[in-house]
Amino acid sequence: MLRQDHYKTSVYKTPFHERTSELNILNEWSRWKDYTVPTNYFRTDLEYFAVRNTTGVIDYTPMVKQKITGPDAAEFVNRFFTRDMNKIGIGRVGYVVWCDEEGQVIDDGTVFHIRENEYWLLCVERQLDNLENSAIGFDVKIEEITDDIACLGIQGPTSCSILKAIGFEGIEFLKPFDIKHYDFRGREIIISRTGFSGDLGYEACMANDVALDFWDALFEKGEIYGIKPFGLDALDLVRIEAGLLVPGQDFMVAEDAIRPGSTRSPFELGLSWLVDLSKPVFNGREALIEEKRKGSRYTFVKLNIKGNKPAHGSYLYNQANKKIGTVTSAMFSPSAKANIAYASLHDPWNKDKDKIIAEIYYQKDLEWNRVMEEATIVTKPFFDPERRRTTPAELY
Amino acid sequence: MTRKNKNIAIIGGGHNSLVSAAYLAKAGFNVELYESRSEVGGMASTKELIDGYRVPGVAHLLHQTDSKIHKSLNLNKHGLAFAASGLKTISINPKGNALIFDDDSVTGDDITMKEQAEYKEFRQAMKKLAGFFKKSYQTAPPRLGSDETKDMTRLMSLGWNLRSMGKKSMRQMLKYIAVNIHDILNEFTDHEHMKGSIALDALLGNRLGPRTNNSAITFLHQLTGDLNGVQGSYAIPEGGMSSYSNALQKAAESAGVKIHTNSPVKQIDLNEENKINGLILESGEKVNADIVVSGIDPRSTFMCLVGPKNLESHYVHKVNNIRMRGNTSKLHLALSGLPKFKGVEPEDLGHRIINAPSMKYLELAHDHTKYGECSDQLPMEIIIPSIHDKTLAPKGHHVLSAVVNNTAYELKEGWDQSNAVVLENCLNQLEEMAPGIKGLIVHAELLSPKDIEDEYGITGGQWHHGELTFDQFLMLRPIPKMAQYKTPIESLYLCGAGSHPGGGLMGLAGRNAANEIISKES
Amino acid sequence: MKNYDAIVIGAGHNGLTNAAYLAKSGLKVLVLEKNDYIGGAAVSRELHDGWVYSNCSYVCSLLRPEIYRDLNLQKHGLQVIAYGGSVTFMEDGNIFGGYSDHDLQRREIGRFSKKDADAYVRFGRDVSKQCRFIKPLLLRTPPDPTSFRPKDLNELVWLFKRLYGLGEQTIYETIRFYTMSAAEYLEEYFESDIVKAALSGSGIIGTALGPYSPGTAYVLLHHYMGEVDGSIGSWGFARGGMGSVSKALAGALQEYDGEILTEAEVTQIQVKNGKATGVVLANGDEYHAKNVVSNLDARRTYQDLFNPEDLNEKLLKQVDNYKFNGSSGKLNIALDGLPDFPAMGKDNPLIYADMHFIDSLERIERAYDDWKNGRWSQDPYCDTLIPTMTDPTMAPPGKHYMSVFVQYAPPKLATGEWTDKDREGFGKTVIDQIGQYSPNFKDLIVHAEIRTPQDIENEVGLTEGNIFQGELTMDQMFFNRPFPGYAQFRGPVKGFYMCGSSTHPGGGVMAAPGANAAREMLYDLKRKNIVPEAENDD
Repeated sequence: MLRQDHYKTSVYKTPFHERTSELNILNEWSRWKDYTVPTNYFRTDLEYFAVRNTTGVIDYTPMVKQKITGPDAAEFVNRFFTRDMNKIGIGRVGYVVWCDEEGQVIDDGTVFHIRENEYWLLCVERQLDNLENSAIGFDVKIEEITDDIACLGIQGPTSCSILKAIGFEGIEFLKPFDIKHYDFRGREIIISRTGFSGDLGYEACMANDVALDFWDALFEKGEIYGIKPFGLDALDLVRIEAGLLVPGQDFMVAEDAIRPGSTRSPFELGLSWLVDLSKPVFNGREALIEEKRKGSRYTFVKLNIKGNKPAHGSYLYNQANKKIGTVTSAMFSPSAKANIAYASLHDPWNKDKDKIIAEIYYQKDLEWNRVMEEATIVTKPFFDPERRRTTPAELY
Repeated sequence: MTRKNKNIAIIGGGHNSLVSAAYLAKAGFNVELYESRSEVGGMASTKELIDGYRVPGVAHLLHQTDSKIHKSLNLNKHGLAFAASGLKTISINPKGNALIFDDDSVTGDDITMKEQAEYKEFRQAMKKLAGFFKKSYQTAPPRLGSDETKDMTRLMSLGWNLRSMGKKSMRQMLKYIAVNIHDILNEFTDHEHMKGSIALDALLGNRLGPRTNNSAITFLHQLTGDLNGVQGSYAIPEGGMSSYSNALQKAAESAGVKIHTNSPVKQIDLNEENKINGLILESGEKVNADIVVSGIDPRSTFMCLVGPKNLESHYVHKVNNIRMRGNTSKLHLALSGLPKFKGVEPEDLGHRIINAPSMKYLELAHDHTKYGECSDQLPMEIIIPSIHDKTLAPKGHHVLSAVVNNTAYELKEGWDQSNAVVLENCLNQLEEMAPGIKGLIVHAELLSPKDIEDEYGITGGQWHHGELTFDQFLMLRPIPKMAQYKTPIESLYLCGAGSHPGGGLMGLAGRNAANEIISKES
Repeated sequence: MKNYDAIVIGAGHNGLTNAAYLAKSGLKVLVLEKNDYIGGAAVSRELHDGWVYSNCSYVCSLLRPEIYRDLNLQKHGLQVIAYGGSVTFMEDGNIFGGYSDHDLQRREIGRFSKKDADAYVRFGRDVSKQCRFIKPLLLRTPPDPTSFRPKDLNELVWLFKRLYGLGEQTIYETIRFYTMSAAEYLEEYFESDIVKAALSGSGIIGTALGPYSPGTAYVLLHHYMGEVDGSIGSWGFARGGMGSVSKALAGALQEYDGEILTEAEVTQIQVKNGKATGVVLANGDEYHAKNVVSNLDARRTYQDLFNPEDLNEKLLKQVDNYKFNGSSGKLNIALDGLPDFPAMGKDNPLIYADMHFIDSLERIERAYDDWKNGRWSQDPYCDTLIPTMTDPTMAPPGKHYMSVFVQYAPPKLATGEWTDKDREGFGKTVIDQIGQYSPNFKDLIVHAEIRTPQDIENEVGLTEGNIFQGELTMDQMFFNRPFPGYAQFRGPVKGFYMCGSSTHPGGGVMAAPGANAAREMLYDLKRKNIVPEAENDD
């Protein structure tokens, strides 16, 4: 019979838990789907600066992982995702979004073209139902492997040096979005030059039983390179600076949305570059073509806002005091010393004529204060160092 | 490009395809039609049972046709004539008490004046409701939520048709539409035999019990058609059912349609941009076409001919979920003489004889269907076509054709095992209705839904190419966003019974599709 | 002889709600109840020494929070306590749990199908969309679609706009949702039979339809619609039993100086010149009022309380055709201790939950077939709860009270009326089914009260024991409830109204029909509307 004692443990511990819990001196934990992971280990800002200055390590085992294999795998992913998947060769990773039939983004994620006829999809929301319903007529097998694979993000300028010190030969030659299979104590570790920090960094996927060994090796060799663990709060800071979106925060996951108009198309998230309408068929294509014809409802922008008070959840107005949008993510960037935010703009916002004014609330000795600050649209990510792209990667 | 040099390839040669072809050719397109069998007509055909005995293929009565199509295609000129029309329905029960229905009147089985009046009231009310259906059957249904003028106009005309029925009928429509024939009949009369007989009309060809909601829709649906203007009337064409198809064929050919029989289609040929190249036939031959129109069922069209890989996955998911579970078999008997049915006068044997003694009987039969079991109580619609057409059987001999309901496509035991069992059940049932008939049998054949699927290429052997239920009706037929005969593949259209308004011999799906194509592709 | 502004016949929860609003508006109101206790089917009764039973209705799910708050029911002693989850015991010894924790639920479904576990998210989303669409309608009056009056036309336009606002895809989904069978609807999401069976249960409660019957899908809403303290999706017990709801409503009524008279059975509604003038009691007493409201079901009201000459023939025919199809029974069981359910494992929180003992759609459908054939289900669908796990005040310390709602039991058996022997047989069937999964259950039974649909009719006055005062099928919903032309709470006689579950939006302890009727009455009386509108979730 099927085991059914899971009600006794609502939340799982990741394979790294033994180490992360030792280091989590604040004992602050967040629930991420089935798992619990540190929110903060010792101090958010120091964890943030570890990523920007040396190397930060994050346990992202809870990230949902799905494996797609079979002779039709390439065709399948090309029909499932909006971008041209033929351009993601074996050993490459691609950032993807996928849509429902109304052209609304269900989720975003990364696809690892692990080997011929094998892709892994890493994302926030589970997609088995969606993937399997899409698999009718394709010779593919879809498995969820979230609980079988442990994952770490190793992000920051000294990350390559640490991995090299452990013995991953040639790691510096990995170009951004490259994958390499390594042997680690007789087990396979898949390392990719990817990450969520906007900086040089890597992600490592491994079987659960080598997780602790790998962690120990990282921290042993990494000590002289300033390695530190970082939690979800610091992650949020680096990803906003890097210009990356989070489903459920910057846009509504179409599969959870109940109200009409609450979802976004890729065009409305500034992700047109991920949509290849010249592909003859992919999920959401018809609706996206229709959107092209009719025009989009929303515009997604990065904002640089005056002052230093983060515009969390702010409403945005134009000079005529009409509401033209909402902030989805906001922070004061320690690296750029700028008050930055993402926002979704809508009618009657006029690109050419309108000012954008953010209504910001913040506390002064418990008293809530409201300021109206002007914002300007920024097109480039707030943090985008050259070393992110340089190959071979910088070694120290 | 003008219509003159646009080539249309039509897949399948059923009556909807033929009607569509005829209208398209009349509009000036070059139309060629590809049929896999050796003759057109699909289920409306005549076939040889054994040497010397011929029977109707599946459809054995002509009713529910559309007189406008008749007229505009000039079917009479093309050879359609009736051997018998205005057939009565004779419902027999085990006691041998027959009820005779003739249009709005009913006699027999101790029926009282009051019950006769109830029947009349029921018929008239239902005909009026069916009139609303008929009106809404004349064009493609609107796309809902659309702001296009055409859709708004269509939606408003639906609303107007409903309102213009008058308060009483509109209220009846809004109350009855989502429910079942059982509840409706209970509002009109208490005569069990009568209720059973009427309820059968809602169930034939469908997978429903009298209590199953949606049986109101199927009941009204079969009442929408008319024969020469008489609503809900039955006839047998001269020369068998194939003469209906032959007339349609001639009408199509005289309009310039080229018909290819024995030409099964293997694939709809798409270029790398998923645009229509034409067809690829089983023979390997490639046919170039600018427009392809499919008269076969939507599941086969998309899953086999287009291929799921060429569609967005939500379409595949929905097409796959179209419910098309056949429930109806066809029984064919070659008889050495005329049988005697209990309670039926010999001169009435040429009429439509049914076995539906009560709603409870039908409901119990449906309970077996639900679980994929063989029922030994089988509702039937029986005709003896050889009475009207002596050429169907050797002199003095006869053929009997019966529609047998409640024989589920997916029988738990499988049809290979069950065919003989079900046939035996049918014969036992017939023997009860017509003692001695077993002794007259020269040959017997049961075409199960599985056989119908194999023979006529209809998924599930479902007559309507998709069950006629509220969620597969009007703008939801066959699936949302395809109800306007247009498909996600540019220049590929649907014209079969799987589309609005569904099955029967009306040909409205074919004509409506042609109208859509003419307005889009000109 | 006494004069009132309004007389309400029947002190069910809707009658009390209606009266409370009328009284709050300043009218002089009298509620007349035939029993010696109030509450109708929402009652707590001590039928065995020390044990309080929620005799008929047993959970609060759809009690409108707007009314709860507006009538200050908390002050009048009502406390609704959330309880979580459900569990289905399977024939093979396994269980299927319905947990309130999202991830736990997904893992539970994943034990049977990982795909279904993910599909559950999509399913929940789609059903929630329908809840959002339907919720505001509960506290609105259905329009008459055949009418050209501005009030009706405006409402129709409002409805149309609301529907169109959903967007093309969701409009189609909405139509499908209201017309498909629970089985078909669930099959589009799930592959595992146990998941479908567990979810479809809510689709058949109180209704004489099986899960294969088209038109049962929409009842899946109930899982998602229940609200306790404003949180969507949860269900709750009324502390002290369902009688607490009635008591609190009566408290509100009395606060506004409304009066209640028990043991006062109304036998006739008096009509003069096409206007209601008052009522006559069984003992001959007369009470006069310009407004008479019936909380009784449509058939009882029109067939028993009116002189047929005061009604038109068309209406009488509609009354006659109004479907009840009673299909539910109830067992209230006093237990000496907490029964063991070994399949659940130790300390499983699901002991607080709804328990069911039928694990496939086919089994549920076959249970329905029995009803059609005039038998109680031999393998019934039992919605079983142990309220004392949450509210220990309902039984002596350490003892328990179990409420078993049984689907299906016909109002009349194929063999004729229910006999005492039949009742016992029915009880035994249910107890045996539970006993199969709990070895010590039977030994713990101290007292069992078995109620057939006929018993429910005799005691509470619900025709055929239909818990919704008439079947909730599409032909008897919204502008068709109870019948076309009378869906706006007004009767055929001036000054006469209906306020029970026979009217929109129907059954369940919602209090919405009572409040809706009050709103229409105040409109007719040209008084200010004080009935709350549905709170907007958008």
